[in-house]
Amino acid sequence: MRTDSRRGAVRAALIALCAAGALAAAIGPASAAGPVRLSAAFDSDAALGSATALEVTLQLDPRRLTHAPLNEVRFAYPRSLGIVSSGLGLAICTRPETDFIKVLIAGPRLGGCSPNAVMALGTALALVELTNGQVIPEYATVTLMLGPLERGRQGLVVFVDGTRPFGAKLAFAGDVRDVRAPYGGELVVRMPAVPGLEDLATVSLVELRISIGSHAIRYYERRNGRRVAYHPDGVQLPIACPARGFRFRVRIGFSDGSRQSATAVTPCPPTVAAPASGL
Amino acid sequence: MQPQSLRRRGIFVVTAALVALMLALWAGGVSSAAPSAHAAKRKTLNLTDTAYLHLTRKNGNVIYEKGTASGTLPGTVTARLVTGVTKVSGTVTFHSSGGGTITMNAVGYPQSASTVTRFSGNIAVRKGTGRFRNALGSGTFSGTANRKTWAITVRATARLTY
Repeated sequence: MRTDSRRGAVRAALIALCAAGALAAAIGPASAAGPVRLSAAFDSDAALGSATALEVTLQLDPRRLTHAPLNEVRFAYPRSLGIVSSGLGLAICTRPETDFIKVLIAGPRLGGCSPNAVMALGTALALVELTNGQVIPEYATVTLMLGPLERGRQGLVVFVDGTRPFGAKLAFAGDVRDVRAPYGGELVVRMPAVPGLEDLATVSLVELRISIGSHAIRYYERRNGRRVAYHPDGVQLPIACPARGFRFRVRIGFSDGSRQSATAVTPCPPTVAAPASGL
Repeated sequence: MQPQSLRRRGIFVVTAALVALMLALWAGGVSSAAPSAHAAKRKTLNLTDTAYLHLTRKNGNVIYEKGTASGTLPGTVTARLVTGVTKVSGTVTFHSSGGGTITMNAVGYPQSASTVTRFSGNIAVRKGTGRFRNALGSGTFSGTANRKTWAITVRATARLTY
Protein backbone atom coordinates (compact mmCIF):
# COMPACT_ATOMS: atom_id res chain seq x y z
CA MET A 1 0.00 0.00 0.00
CA ARG A 2 2.80 2.40 1.00
CA THR A 3 4.78 1.38 -2.07
CA ASP A 4 1.80 2.08 -4.29
CA SER A 5 1.25 5.48 -2.75
CA ARG A 6 4.94 6.38 -3.08
CA ARG A 7 4.96 5.24 -6.70
CA GLY A 8 1.82 7.28 -7.27
CA ALA A 9 3.43 10.34 -5.75
CA VAL A 10 6.53 9.95 -7.91
CA ARG A 11 4.40 9.47 -11.03
CA ALA A 12 2.24 12.49 -10.19
CA ALA A 13 5.31 14.65 -9.69
CA LEU A 14 6.80 13.51 -12.97
CA ILE A 15 3.58 14.09 -14.91
CA ALA A 16 3.14 17.53 -13.37
CA LEU A 17 6.64 18.50 -14.34
CA CYS A 18 6.19 17.22 -17.87
CA ALA A 19 2.98 19.17 -18.20
CA ALA A 20 4.76 22.29 -17.08
CA GLY A 21 7.27 21.75 -19.82
CA ALA A 22 10.27 21.55 -17.50
CA LEU A 23 12.70 20.00 -19.92
CA ALA A 24 16.41 19.63 -19.81
CA ALA A 25 18.20 22.76 -20.86
CA ALA A 26 21.06 23.40 -18.51
CA ILE A 27 23.45 20.70 -19.61
CA GLY A 28 26.72 21.88 -21.09
CA PRO A 29 28.40 20.50 -24.20
CA ALA A 30 30.01 17.09 -24.13
CA SER A 31 33.63 16.91 -23.07
CA ALA A 32 36.28 16.25 -25.65
CA ALA A 33 37.93 13.90 -23.13
CA GLY A 34 36.58 10.55 -21.94
CA PRO A 35 32.97 10.09 -20.90
CA VAL A 36 34.03 10.29 -17.24
CA ARG A 37 36.13 13.15 -15.94
CA LEU A 38 37.55 13.62 -12.48
CA SER A 39 39.20 16.61 -10.91
CA ALA A 40 40.37 17.21 -7.35
CA ALA A 41 41.58 20.44 -5.81
CA PHE A 42 42.64 21.71 -2.41
CA ASP A 43 41.80 25.12 -0.95
CA SER A 44 43.42 27.94 -2.91
CA ASP A 45 45.40 28.88 0.21
CA ALA A 46 46.24 25.27 1.19
CA ALA A 47 49.83 24.57 2.20
CA LEU A 48 51.71 21.33 2.74
CA GLY A 49 51.42 20.19 6.35
CA SER A 50 48.11 21.94 6.92
CA ALA A 51 44.45 20.93 6.85
CA THR A 52 42.35 21.72 3.80
CA ALA A 53 39.07 20.96 2.12
CA LEU A 54 39.32 18.58 -0.81
CA GLU A 55 37.02 19.54 -3.68
CA VAL A 56 36.23 16.59 -5.93
CA THR A 57 34.30 17.00 -9.17
CA LEU A 58 33.04 14.06 -11.16
CA GLN A 59 31.49 14.68 -14.56
CA LEU A 60 29.78 12.06 -16.70
CA ASP A 61 28.60 12.39 -20.27
CA PRO A 62 25.44 10.23 -20.52
CA ARG A 63 25.50 10.43 -24.32
CA ARG A 64 28.79 8.53 -24.33
CA LEU A 65 27.96 6.08 -21.56
CA THR A 66 25.78 3.02 -21.28
CA HIS A 67 22.10 3.72 -20.81
CA ALA A 68 22.07 1.47 -17.74
CA PRO A 69 21.87 3.32 -14.42
CA LEU A 70 24.97 3.85 -12.36
CA ASN A 71 25.11 1.59 -9.31
CA GLU A 72 28.49 2.18 -7.67
CA VAL A 73 31.06 4.95 -7.32
CA ARG A 74 34.56 4.30 -5.96
CA PHE A 75 36.81 7.24 -5.24
CA ALA A 76 40.43 6.50 -4.29
CA TYR A 77 42.64 9.10 -2.64
CA PRO A 78 46.43 9.23 -2.16
CA ARG A 79 48.06 7.29 0.65
CA SER A 80 49.75 10.29 2.20
CA LEU A 81 46.51 12.26 2.50
CA GLY A 82 45.21 12.33 6.08
CA ILE A 83 41.54 11.46 5.94
CA VAL A 84 41.53 9.28 9.05
CA SER A 85 43.89 11.69 10.84
CA SER A 86 41.63 14.65 10.01
CA GLY A 87 39.08 15.96 12.47
CA LEU A 88 36.23 14.65 10.31
CA GLY A 89 33.64 12.08 11.28
CA LEU A 90 33.55 12.37 15.06
CA ALA A 91 30.09 10.84 15.36
CA ILE A 92 28.44 7.89 13.67
CA CYS A 93 25.35 8.03 11.48
CA THR A 94 23.38 4.82 11.80
CA ARG A 95 20.33 4.22 9.64
CA PRO A 96 18.24 1.06 9.43
CA GLU A 97 19.29 -1.34 6.69
CA THR A 98 15.83 -1.00 5.12
CA ASP A 99 16.62 2.65 4.25
CA PHE A 100 19.33 1.49 1.85
CA ILE A 101 16.95 -1.00 0.24
CA LYS A 102 14.10 1.48 -0.14
CA VAL A 103 16.59 4.25 -1.09
CA LEU A 104 13.76 6.80 -1.19
CA ILE A 105 13.32 7.77 2.43
CA ALA A 106 11.45 10.30 4.47
CA GLY A 107 13.19 11.93 7.34
CA PRO A 108 14.61 15.09 8.81
CA ARG A 109 17.74 16.81 7.54
CA LEU A 110 20.81 14.57 7.96
CA GLY A 111 18.38 11.70 8.45
CA GLY A 112 18.29 12.49 12.14
CA CYS A 113 22.04 11.90 12.47
CA SER A 114 24.48 14.07 14.40
CA PRO A 115 26.05 16.95 12.43
CA ASN A 116 29.36 15.72 13.87
CA ALA A 117 29.13 12.75 11.50
CA VAL A 118 29.29 14.93 8.36
CA MET A 119 32.51 14.46 6.40
CA ALA A 120 31.64 16.09 3.09
CA LEU A 121 29.02 18.32 1.51
CA GLY A 122 28.26 18.76 -2.14
CA THR A 123 25.83 18.98 -4.99
CA ALA A 124 24.69 16.65 -7.74
CA LEU A 125 23.00 17.05 -11.07
CA ALA A 126 21.16 14.13 -12.62
CA LEU A 127 19.08 13.73 -15.73
CA VAL A 128 15.73 12.08 -15.22
CA GLU A 129 14.60 10.54 -18.50
CA LEU A 130 10.94 9.70 -18.59
CA THR A 131 9.52 6.77 -20.51
CA ASN A 132 8.16 9.19 -23.11
CA GLY A 133 11.68 10.40 -23.81
CA GLN A 134 11.48 13.69 -21.98
CA VAL A 135 14.55 14.59 -19.93
CA ILE A 136 14.39 16.63 -16.76
CA PRO A 137 17.47 17.87 -14.90
CA GLU A 138 17.29 17.26 -11.17
CA TYR A 139 19.47 19.21 -8.74
CA ALA A 140 20.32 17.85 -5.33
CA THR A 141 22.53 18.42 -2.33
CA VAL A 142 24.75 15.61 -1.15
CA THR A 143 25.89 14.86 2.39
CA LEU A 144 28.51 12.22 3.14
CA MET A 145 28.55 10.97 6.72
CA LEU A 146 30.56 8.51 8.74
CA GLY A 147 28.70 5.27 9.31
CA PRO A 148 29.28 2.48 11.80
CA LEU A 149 32.38 0.28 11.86
CA GLU A 150 31.12 -3.19 11.00
CA ARG A 151 32.93 -6.42 10.20
CA GLY A 152 36.21 -4.56 9.89
CA ARG A 153 34.81 -2.06 7.42
CA GLN A 154 34.28 1.60 8.08
CA GLY A 155 30.77 2.44 6.94
CA LEU A 156 29.53 5.55 5.14
CA VAL A 157 26.05 6.97 4.75
CA VAL A 158 25.20 9.27 1.85
CA PHE A 159 22.06 11.40 1.72
CA VAL A 160 20.99 12.95 -1.57
CA ASP A 161 18.36 15.62 -1.07
CA GLY A 162 16.66 16.65 -4.28
CA THR A 163 16.21 20.39 -4.30
CA ARG A 164 14.37 20.94 -7.59
CA PRO A 165 12.19 19.87 -9.22
CA PHE A 166 11.47 16.56 -7.44
CA GLY A 167 12.71 17.08 -3.91
CA ALA A 168 13.14 13.41 -3.06
CA LYS A 169 15.47 12.28 -0.27
CA LEU A 170 17.65 9.28 -1.10
CA ALA A 171 19.88 7.24 1.22
CA PHE A 172 22.85 5.20 0.04
CA ALA A 173 25.25 3.02 2.00
CA GLY A 174 28.98 2.83 1.45
CA ASP A 175 32.26 2.19 3.14
CA VAL A 176 35.90 3.24 3.19
CA ARG A 177 38.46 0.61 2.27
CA ASP A 178 42.21 0.27 2.31
CA VAL A 179 43.59 0.01 -1.23
CA ARG A 180 46.97 -0.58 -2.79
CA ALA A 181 49.53 2.17 -3.26
CA PRO A 182 49.73 4.84 -4.51
CA TYR A 183 46.24 5.13 -3.07
CA GLY A 184 45.61 4.99 0.65
CA GLY A 185 41.89 4.49 0.81
CA GLU A 186 38.79 4.28 -1.32
CA LEU A 187 35.35 5.70 -0.62
CA VAL A 188 32.77 3.31 -2.03
CA VAL A 189 29.12 4.27 -2.41
CA ARG A 190 26.60 1.71 -3.60
CA MET A 191 23.66 3.20 -5.48
CA PRO A 192 20.96 0.62 -6.19
CA ALA A 193 17.97 1.52 -8.34
CA VAL A 194 15.18 3.34 -6.55
CA PRO A 195 12.38 0.81 -6.13
CA GLY A 196 9.26 2.01 -7.90
CA LEU A 197 11.14 4.38 -10.20
CA GLU A 198 12.59 1.84 -12.65
CA ASP A 199 9.40 1.66 -14.70
CA LEU A 200 8.88 5.40 -14.76
CA ALA A 201 12.23 6.97 -15.46
CA THR A 202 15.93 6.42 -15.87
CA VAL A 203 18.18 8.58 -13.69
CA SER A 204 21.65 9.40 -15.01
CA LEU A 205 24.18 11.18 -12.82
CA VAL A 206 25.79 13.99 -14.80
CA GLU A 207 27.83 15.84 -12.24
CA LEU A 208 28.82 15.33 -8.64
CA ARG A 209 30.73 18.00 -6.73
CA ILE A 210 31.73 17.13 -3.22
CA SER A 211 33.92 18.90 -0.72
CA ILE A 212 35.53 16.64 1.86
CA GLY A 213 36.11 18.79 4.93
CA SER A 214 33.99 21.58 3.42
CA HIS A 215 34.19 24.94 5.16
CA ALA A 216 30.40 24.80 5.48
CA ILE A 217 30.64 21.83 7.86
CA ARG A 218 29.85 22.73 11.46
CA TYR A 219 30.41 20.44 14.42
CA TYR A 220 29.15 21.03 17.93
CA GLU A 221 30.73 20.40 21.29
CA ARG A 222 30.06 21.26 24.90
CA ARG A 223 32.26 23.94 26.43
CA ASN A 224 31.47 25.06 29.96
CA GLY A 225 28.01 23.61 29.62
CA ARG A 226 27.30 25.49 26.39
CA ARG A 227 26.87 24.02 22.91
CA VAL A 228 29.52 25.61 20.74
CA ALA A 229 29.86 25.29 16.96
CA TYR A 230 33.24 24.89 15.28
CA HIS A 231 34.64 23.97 11.90
CA PRO A 232 36.49 20.64 12.09
CA ASP A 233 39.97 20.28 10.62
CA GLY A 234 39.72 19.08 7.06
CA VAL A 235 41.93 16.70 5.13
CA GLN A 236 45.47 16.72 6.50
CA LEU A 237 48.15 17.34 3.87
CA PRO A 238 51.61 15.81 4.27
CA ILE A 239 54.64 18.05 4.74
CA ALA A 240 56.21 16.71 1.54
CA CYS A 241 54.61 16.24 -1.83
CA PRO A 242 54.30 12.73 -3.29
CA ALA A 243 56.20 12.15 -6.52
CA ARG A 244 54.20 13.44 -9.50
CA GLY A 245 51.58 15.10 -7.29
CA PHE A 246 48.49 13.77 -5.52
CA ARG A 247 46.84 11.05 -7.56
CA PHE A 248 43.12 10.32 -7.42
CA ARG A 249 41.01 7.73 -9.20
CA VAL A 250 37.32 7.18 -9.69
CA ARG A 251 35.75 3.93 -10.84
CA ILE A 252 32.09 3.77 -11.73
CA GLY A 253 29.97 0.68 -12.11
CA PHE A 254 26.71 0.44 -14.03
CA SER A 255 23.85 -1.97 -13.53
CA ASP A 256 24.62 -3.74 -16.84
CA GLY A 257 28.05 -4.68 -15.48
CA SER A 258 30.03 -2.13 -17.48
CA ARG A 259 32.62 0.06 -15.79
CA GLN A 260 34.32 3.36 -16.41
CA SER A 261 37.21 5.01 -14.67
CA ALA A 262 39.11 8.25 -14.64
CA THR A 263 42.14 9.61 -12.83
CA ALA A 264 43.27 13.03 -11.77
CA VAL A 265 46.53 14.47 -10.54
CA THR A 266 46.49 17.48 -8.27
CA PRO A 267 49.68 19.52 -8.16
CA CYS A 268 51.41 20.19 -4.90
CA PRO A 269 50.39 23.19 -2.87
CA PRO A 270 53.23 25.38 -1.59
CA THR A 271 55.18 24.34 1.47
CA VAL A 272 54.20 25.62 4.88
CA ALA A 273 55.34 29.18 5.43
CA ALA A 274 57.83 29.39 8.26
CA PRO A 275 56.21 30.96 11.33
CA ALA A 276 57.47 34.41 12.18
CA SER A 277 60.04 34.11 14.93
CA GLY A 278 59.57 37.63 16.20
CA LEU A 279 63.28 37.95 16.83
CA MET B 1 121.02 -23.05 -3.72
CA GLN B 2 118.42 -20.65 -5.03
CA PRO B 3 115.82 -23.31 -6.05
CA GLN B 4 116.13 -24.95 -2.60
CA SER B 5 115.63 -21.57 -0.90
CA LEU B 6 112.54 -20.95 -2.96
CA ARG B 7 111.14 -24.43 -2.10
CA ARG B 8 111.76 -23.79 1.63
CA ARG B 9 110.12 -20.40 1.36
CA GLY B 10 107.15 -22.04 -0.39
CA ILE B 11 106.77 -24.65 2.33
CA PHE B 12 106.92 -21.88 4.93
CA VAL B 13 104.18 -19.89 3.17
CA VAL B 14 101.91 -22.95 2.89
CA THR B 15 102.49 -23.81 6.57
CA ALA B 16 101.79 -20.26 7.61
CA ALA B 17 98.60 -20.26 5.56
CA LEU B 18 97.45 -23.52 7.17
CA VAL B 19 98.16 -22.18 10.65
CA ALA B 20 96.33 -18.98 9.82
CA LEU B 21 93.38 -21.03 8.50
CA MET B 22 93.28 -23.18 11.66
CA LEU B 23 93.44 -20.07 13.80
CA ALA B 24 90.64 -18.56 11.80
CA LEU B 25 88.51 -21.71 12.16
CA TRP B 26 89.19 -21.80 15.90
CA ALA B 27 88.32 -18.14 16.23
CA GLY B 28 85.16 -18.72 14.21
CA GLY B 29 84.16 -21.56 16.49
CA VAL B 30 84.64 -19.37 19.54
CA SER B 31 82.76 -16.60 17.83
CA SER B 32 79.80 -18.82 16.92
CA ALA B 33 79.63 -20.12 20.45
CA ALA B 34 79.42 -16.61 21.82
CA PRO B 35 75.68 -15.95 21.26
CA SER B 36 74.64 -19.10 23.09
CA ALA B 37 76.80 -18.08 26.03
CA HIS B 38 75.21 -14.67 25.87
CA ALA B 39 71.74 -16.19 25.50
CA ALA B 40 72.20 -18.02 28.76
CA LYS B 41 72.54 -14.64 30.47
CA ARG B 42 69.38 -13.17 28.97
CA LYS B 43 66.79 -11.83 31.37
CA THR B 44 63.06 -12.14 30.96
CA LEU B 45 60.68 -9.39 31.93
CA ASN B 46 56.89 -9.53 31.94
CA LEU B 47 55.82 -5.94 31.76
CA THR B 48 52.50 -4.19 32.08
CA ASP B 49 52.51 -0.48 31.46
CA THR B 50 49.93 2.23 30.91
CA ALA B 51 50.89 5.16 28.70
CA TYR B 52 49.22 8.52 28.22
CA LEU B 53 50.13 10.11 24.90
CA HIS B 54 49.33 13.42 23.28
CA LEU B 55 49.65 14.64 19.70
CA THR B 56 52.84 16.49 18.85
CA ARG B 57 52.30 16.90 15.11
CA LYS B 58 50.60 15.52 12.01
CA ASN B 59 52.07 14.76 8.62
CA GLY B 60 49.26 13.76 6.31
CA ASN B 61 48.12 10.34 7.41
CA VAL B 62 50.95 10.07 9.99
CA ILE B 63 50.53 11.26 13.55
CA TYR B 64 53.34 11.76 16.05
CA GLU B 65 52.69 11.28 19.74
CA LYS B 66 54.60 11.73 22.98
CA GLY B 67 53.79 10.90 26.60
CA THR B 68 54.60 9.09 29.79
CA ALA B 69 54.30 5.49 30.88
CA SER B 70 53.81 4.03 34.33
CA GLY B 71 53.87 0.45 35.52
CA THR B 72 56.59 -2.21 35.44
CA LEU B 73 58.90 0.08 33.50
CA PRO B 74 58.09 3.74 34.04
CA GLY B 75 59.41 6.21 31.50
CA THR B 76 58.51 8.28 28.48
CA VAL B 77 57.09 7.15 25.15
CA THR B 78 57.25 8.53 21.61
CA ALA B 79 55.26 7.12 18.71
CA ARG B 80 54.96 7.52 14.97
CA LEU B 81 51.65 6.08 13.79
CA VAL B 82 50.40 5.65 10.23
CA THR B 83 46.63 5.92 10.22
CA GLY B 84 44.82 3.67 7.78
CA VAL B 85 41.13 3.11 7.29
CA THR B 86 40.88 -0.07 9.32
CA LYS B 87 44.24 -0.23 11.06
CA VAL B 88 46.91 1.95 12.56
CA SER B 89 50.51 0.80 12.43
CA GLY B 90 53.74 2.35 13.50
CA THR B 91 56.77 2.47 15.69
CA VAL B 92 56.68 3.11 19.41
CA THR B 93 59.85 3.88 21.37
CA PHE B 94 59.86 3.50 25.12
CA HIS B 95 62.51 5.39 27.08
CA SER B 96 62.88 3.72 30.48
CA SER B 97 63.47 5.98 33.49
CA GLY B 98 66.11 3.47 34.59
CA GLY B 99 68.00 3.82 31.31
CA GLY B 100 67.77 2.14 27.93
CA THR B 101 65.17 2.26 25.22
CA ILE B 102 62.90 -0.32 23.66
CA THR B 103 61.60 0.16 20.12
CA MET B 104 58.62 -1.85 19.01
CA ASN B 105 56.37 -2.19 15.99
CA ALA B 106 52.70 -1.84 16.75
CA VAL B 107 49.60 -2.67 14.73
CA GLY B 108 46.25 -1.63 16.14
CA TYR B 109 42.70 -2.05 14.99
CA PRO B 110 39.89 0.36 15.89
CA GLN B 111 36.80 -1.20 17.40
CA SER B 112 34.50 1.77 17.02
CA ALA B 113 34.34 5.02 15.06
CA SER B 114 33.10 7.46 17.67
CA THR B 115 35.04 10.48 18.94
CA VAL B 116 36.70 8.36 21.61
CA THR B 117 37.42 5.13 19.83
CA ARG B 118 38.58 1.90 21.39
CA PHE B 119 41.37 -0.08 19.80
CA SER B 120 43.49 -3.13 20.42
CA GLY B 121 46.47 -4.71 18.74
CA ASN B 122 49.83 -6.39 18.87
CA ILE B 123 53.38 -5.25 19.49
CA ALA B 124 56.68 -6.81 18.48
CA VAL B 125 59.84 -5.62 20.18
CA ARG B 126 62.27 -4.84 17.41
CA LYS B 127 65.35 -3.42 19.07
CA GLY B 128 66.67 -1.62 22.10
CA THR B 129 69.54 0.38 23.45
CA GLY B 130 71.50 0.41 26.72
CA ARG B 131 70.47 -2.44 28.98
CA PHE B 132 67.82 -3.40 26.41
CA ARG B 133 70.22 -3.46 23.47
CA ASN B 134 69.37 -7.07 22.56
CA ALA B 135 65.73 -6.85 23.50
CA LEU B 136 63.23 -9.16 21.85
CA GLY B 137 59.64 -9.88 22.67
CA SER B 138 56.02 -9.45 21.85
CA GLY B 139 52.78 -8.46 23.47
CA THR B 140 49.37 -6.94 23.13
CA PHE B 141 47.80 -3.60 23.86
CA SER B 142 44.42 -1.95 24.10
CA GLY B 143 43.24 1.53 24.77
CA THR B 144 41.30 4.54 23.64
CA ALA B 145 42.05 7.40 21.26
CA ASN B 146 40.24 10.71 21.14
CA ARG B 147 39.98 11.39 17.41
CA LYS B 148 39.49 15.11 17.92
CA THR B 149 42.55 15.74 20.09
CA TRP B 150 44.43 12.49 19.37
CA ALA B 151 45.01 11.99 23.08
CA ILE B 152 45.70 8.29 23.49
CA THR B 153 45.59 6.05 26.55
CA VAL B 154 47.08 2.63 26.03
CA ARG B 155 47.68 -0.34 28.31
CA ALA B 156 50.29 -2.78 27.05
CA THR B 157 51.45 -6.15 28.30
CA ALA B 158 54.53 -7.78 26.85
CA ARG B 159 57.08 -10.50 27.52
CA LEU B 160 60.56 -9.24 26.93
CA THR B 161 64.00 -10.87 26.91
CA TYR B 162 67.15 -8.80 26.89
